[in-house]
Amino acid sequence: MEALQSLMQGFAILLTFDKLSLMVIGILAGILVGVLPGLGGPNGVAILLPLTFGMDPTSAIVFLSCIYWGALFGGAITSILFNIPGEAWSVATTFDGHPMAQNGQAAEALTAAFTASFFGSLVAVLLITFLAPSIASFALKFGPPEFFAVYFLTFCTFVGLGKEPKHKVIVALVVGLLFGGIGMDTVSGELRMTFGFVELLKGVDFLVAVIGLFGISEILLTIEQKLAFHGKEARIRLSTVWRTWLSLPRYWATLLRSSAIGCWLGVTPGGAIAASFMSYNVAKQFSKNKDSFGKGQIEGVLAPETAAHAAGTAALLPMLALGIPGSGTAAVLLGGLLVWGLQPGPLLFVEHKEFVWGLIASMYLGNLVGLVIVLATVPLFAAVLRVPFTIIAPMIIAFCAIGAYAVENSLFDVWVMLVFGIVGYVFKKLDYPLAPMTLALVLGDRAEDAFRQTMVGSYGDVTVLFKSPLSGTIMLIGLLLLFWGPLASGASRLFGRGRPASEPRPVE
Amino acid sequence: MSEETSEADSARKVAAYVRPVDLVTSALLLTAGFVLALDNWRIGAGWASDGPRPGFFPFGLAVILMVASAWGLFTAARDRSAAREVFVETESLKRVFQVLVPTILFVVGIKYAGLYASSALLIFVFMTWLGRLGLVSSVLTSLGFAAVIFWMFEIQFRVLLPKGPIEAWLGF
Repeated sequence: MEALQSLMQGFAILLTFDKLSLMVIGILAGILVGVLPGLGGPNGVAILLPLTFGMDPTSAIVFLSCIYWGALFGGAITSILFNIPGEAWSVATTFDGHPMAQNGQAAEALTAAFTASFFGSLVAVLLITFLAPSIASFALKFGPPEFFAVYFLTFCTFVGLGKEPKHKVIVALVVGLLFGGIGMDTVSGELRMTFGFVELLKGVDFLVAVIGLFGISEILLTIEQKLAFHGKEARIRLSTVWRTWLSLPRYWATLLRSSAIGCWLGVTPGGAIAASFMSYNVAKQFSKNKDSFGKGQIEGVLAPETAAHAAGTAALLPMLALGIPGSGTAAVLLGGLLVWGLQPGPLLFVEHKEFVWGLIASMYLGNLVGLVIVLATVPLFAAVLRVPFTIIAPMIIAFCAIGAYAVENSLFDVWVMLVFGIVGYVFKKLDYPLAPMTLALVLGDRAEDAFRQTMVGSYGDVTVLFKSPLSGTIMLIGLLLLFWGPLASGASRLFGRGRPASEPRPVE
Repeated sequence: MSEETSEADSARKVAAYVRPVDLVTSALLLTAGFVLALDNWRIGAGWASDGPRPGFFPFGLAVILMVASAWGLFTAARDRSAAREVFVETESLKRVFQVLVPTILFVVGIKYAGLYASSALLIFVFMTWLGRLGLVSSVLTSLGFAAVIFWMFEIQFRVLLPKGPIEAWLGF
């Protein structure tokens, strides 16, 4: 198999002292990021991105993706021990994880969570290993219309499937796209939306926006609630680990089901959060002891963790194969590719083989190393949470400023970051989703370029998007998703006599 | 979330309810959409012989933004249930400003004192003023943090960050 051979080469690239130690540092930093409230996957990776500017791309991506794995692991620690989800995707883990800790089963819960995470991402990595190359080679046939159609589909997915009010999703998307359009137009050289600010010539950098949107705004939200942490102690003994591991095969169905849910939702830009909730509910439906859910049922820990990790990993599949990130963090990694001078998209598999396969190999190795490290260091990271937030918050702010500055060595960007922080704070409180905004920011230019190239090719005929079977199909799916809400309620009105599933009427 | 807190403790002062904030945000977005649409119209939002002109794409987006935020304005105005929903309490808002104002000063400080000194100062202020932690531990933590990030960025990872007179005095 060609994939296996390339994978072996990937491992060969990884097995050097430098790369392995980078992995360990990355995972430790990632767990820290996952444990600390107010720091998460996307901004954790974005803030630490400047550390990689002096590295070669392969080391850089290995380091950053390990931060990501670490963050995924770290979220479980706070959910189980402190009942505080360090990440949105570990909210579902608190439902049963914390009760288990209260029953004195903290070590079992943690072991189960970490192992489930490992399992979930292993399934997703296998998927990436064997699927990504073929998707990429298929996507090599894509021309501008197809790419535009795929971008269009991505945006429509958010609008159609988002839980937030539709107009807020649309606003978030459009604001992101508009920010992406600021600066000098690549085709005509015309200045767009700069309003005379010289600093805006180069546009608003996506990473700067992400650091503000997720980093600064999180700090503001966290400080608002005056957090005090009261956690359970946990030290994981090897015997507990074995005992838990021996009990896991019993839950194979839950593990496989949750992995499948995670992979599916991870590839579509719904992400880890939806996956974790959905798989928790599904596990509950299928379980023989439904009633014990919420009171410390181990399946209730396994299901969301497997799904969240599978989704988080699978989100990298469209990023690698198509250049379209499946999650906020994947979007930041994509931003990283641009900084290191790599062009994301299907050509990566051809032109930068060692980069891609090094990354894929690091997913296997990083998760394995991560599992071992996280099992060993739980007490240490639980102690970190007892450090007062008034010490941690300014350090995070300082790191955010460093991250924003280092992208372009510009102090103006630090101000931009601050503005985005305040915008993010207000948006989050008003239920405007931030994920589509970040995705739109990073994809905006490329979507527009694809559109304009299509138009140049077709002499301004928009219908060309629907003429080729491939782009036509994708566009249709996109439109279908865009109008999913009204379509579904219309269909139920037509066929199912029952009340249409439209919005609830306002209370008089 | 905010509903529960407001019901649980109605004695707390409320700085802002959701509805007015929602209205103002939508209005601002609508204005922004209008301004951006005008600006893009100015540089040409139509079609040239070789496809769309530079303003075409952003002009379309700005129009969508206007429509969506107008819709938001409309629903927010109609939705009376959100009128009692708390956006932020006075107490929380005070805490947010206690963080935001030092952060702004910190960014101003980067320009004059460099990033390291400014960060150390920020941590010191946070620890002593907001955290009411001891003077000695605050000094040690803030200086230690600055030293560690200096070592990490300037020396280990060779990422150059803004430096001020103190670093110059130390010979960097």
